[in-house]
Amino acid sequence: MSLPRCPRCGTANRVGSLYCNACGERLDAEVSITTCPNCGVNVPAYSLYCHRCGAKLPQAAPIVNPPPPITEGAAGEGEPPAESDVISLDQMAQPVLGAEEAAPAPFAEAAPAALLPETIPGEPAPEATPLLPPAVSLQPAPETPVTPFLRVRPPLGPPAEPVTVPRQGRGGETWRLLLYLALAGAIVVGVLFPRGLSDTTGVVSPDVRALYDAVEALPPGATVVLSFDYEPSTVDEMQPLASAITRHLVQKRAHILAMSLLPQGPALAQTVLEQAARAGSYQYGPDYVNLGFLAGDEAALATLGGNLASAFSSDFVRGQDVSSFAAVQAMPRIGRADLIIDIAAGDVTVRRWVEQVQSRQKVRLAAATSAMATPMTFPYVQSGQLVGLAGGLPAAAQYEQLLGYEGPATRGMTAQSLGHLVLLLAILIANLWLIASPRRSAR
Amino acid sequence: MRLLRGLAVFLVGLVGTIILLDFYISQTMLDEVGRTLVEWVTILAALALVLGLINLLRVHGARVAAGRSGWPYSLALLGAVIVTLVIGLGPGSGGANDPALNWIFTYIYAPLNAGVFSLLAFFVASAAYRALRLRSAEGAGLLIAGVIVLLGQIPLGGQLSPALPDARDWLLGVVGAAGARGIIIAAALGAVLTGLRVLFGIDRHYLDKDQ
Repeated sequence: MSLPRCPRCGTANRVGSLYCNACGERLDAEVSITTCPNCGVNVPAYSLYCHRCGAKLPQAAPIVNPPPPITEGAAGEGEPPAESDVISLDQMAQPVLGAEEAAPAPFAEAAPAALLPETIPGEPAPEATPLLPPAVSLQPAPETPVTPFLRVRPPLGPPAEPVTVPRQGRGGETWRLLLYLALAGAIVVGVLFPRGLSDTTGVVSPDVRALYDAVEALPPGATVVLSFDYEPSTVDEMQPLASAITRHLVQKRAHILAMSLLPQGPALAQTVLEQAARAGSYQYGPDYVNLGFLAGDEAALATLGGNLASAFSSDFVRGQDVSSFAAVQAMPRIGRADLIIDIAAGDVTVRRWVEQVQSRQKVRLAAATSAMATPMTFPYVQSGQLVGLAGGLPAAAQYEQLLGYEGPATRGMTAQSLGHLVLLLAILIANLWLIASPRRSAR
Repeated sequence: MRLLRGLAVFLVGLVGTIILLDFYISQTMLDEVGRTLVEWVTILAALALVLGLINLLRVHGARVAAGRSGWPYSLALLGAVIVTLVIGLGPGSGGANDPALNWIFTYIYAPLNAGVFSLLAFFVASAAYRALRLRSAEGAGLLIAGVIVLLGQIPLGGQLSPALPDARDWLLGVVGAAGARGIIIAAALGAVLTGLRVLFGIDRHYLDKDQ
């Protein structure tokens, strides 16, 4: 069974859908396609800029409305369009001859199909469809016929001349290999010799300071909810952050209720909690409890407005009723928490906490995210919905500095610094090469 | 069939409206009904995990049985799933916190997951190397911003100049946040439209058989 693909973004949708789940385009819309004169990738004709190389496109054509229904007796209207006017999926998916190999979209290539959940029961799982350019994503299965509502027409006006772009050649591959080797070498050196560039003295971001101050202001015996919403894939960036914050909470003698919206979260949380508990002589039960995994994302967070015991039937460690723990008895409802800290690798989870918990329960919420998610989380700090924000390994190193100890984040800054320097050097060399070669800069 | 479809659309619309009203109106009975309905969602979400597992076993089991391309990998996946399930659910198991299960998670799953994700570093480096070029005015702006953020993120940047971390904070907190706000608002509007389509059955019709 072939899944209908969006003519605009290429996402596979369920059979029978009228609109694309990713971009909202009508699946039966006819989208004119043109080619970028700079890199040769297929782009919708209404685009002003190429989504791959950013070059300005010559002329944007409006979306062609679906053709009017064919009526009997109208001369010529009942005839199928000329074959040359129709571009099949095969033609639309193929890049222009001679175009250089498409650079992999970073997050797309790192998500092999085997890791994607196959959650549509009764149907074969769709192919992995990250948001790649149409030239890469619209590769049909060999047996997939061209369905009528995916018929596309050439752009309005004179057809674009095919652009012949020379292949990248072995020189480009060599540079990429050198870059990879240099990056790997820099990180290995940084890990083996962590004391070189790890001095973070005097550099603390205001948002990290705000998070630190929010924890510092907690009275002894305060109850704090920690949500460990990250997976092992981001553990090297998030675990130091989680460890630093948990250590601070133990120093303040706060009761910690840990939970997670991800199945892998509770195990990661337990590692952090046990480490902090050993350092601060904390006991499981009176001082901290691992409530475990809560399924349902937004819906699960919405249920937290009620009794915690109804949301979590048993804890993660002992499997006993959560209401039997003193730490939970001190805070039966999440609205009574003194502070909630969401430790999340992605901004979507933070947004869910803001929408479902902070806005409804009016509790103080802070976040610790990966560096990748921090830009999308800043608006919530500026609106006052988050009382503090720490993003990435540098923020973890700054937090350790504020606490006065040298932890894994501080030691990791050497490797990160060397990696950044290698990248900057590569960018500098590439631009000097571009400037020095007029022919290359003219392309 | 039309009657059933209409009934399905009505039920979805009714439940969605109740939960939506519960978000904005504080009323005891509405709160109770809304909370109960949302709790059903968490139960269904947990069930969805089970359905996903069943589908995984079915798809990969069929691949192994038919000997299709990649069947050894499917066999390895099935083996890993069965071993983990037996350890976690079998007699004498400690449940989610079982020591054997924790060992698998800590020494097999977590390192593999982290290792695969760490490949991103090379893809991002390659993408930055290709994207941050002085090809145009916009490209120059992107290049300057990229260099400031790359330097401002590391301690060395602060030692070179105190202005670098401040510039990085400004870029992310002002310029980047402005763009992020636009994306968040647009995504929210899109979610409202998609939600309305789902509630009113404008998109894929409920109970329709697959074509």
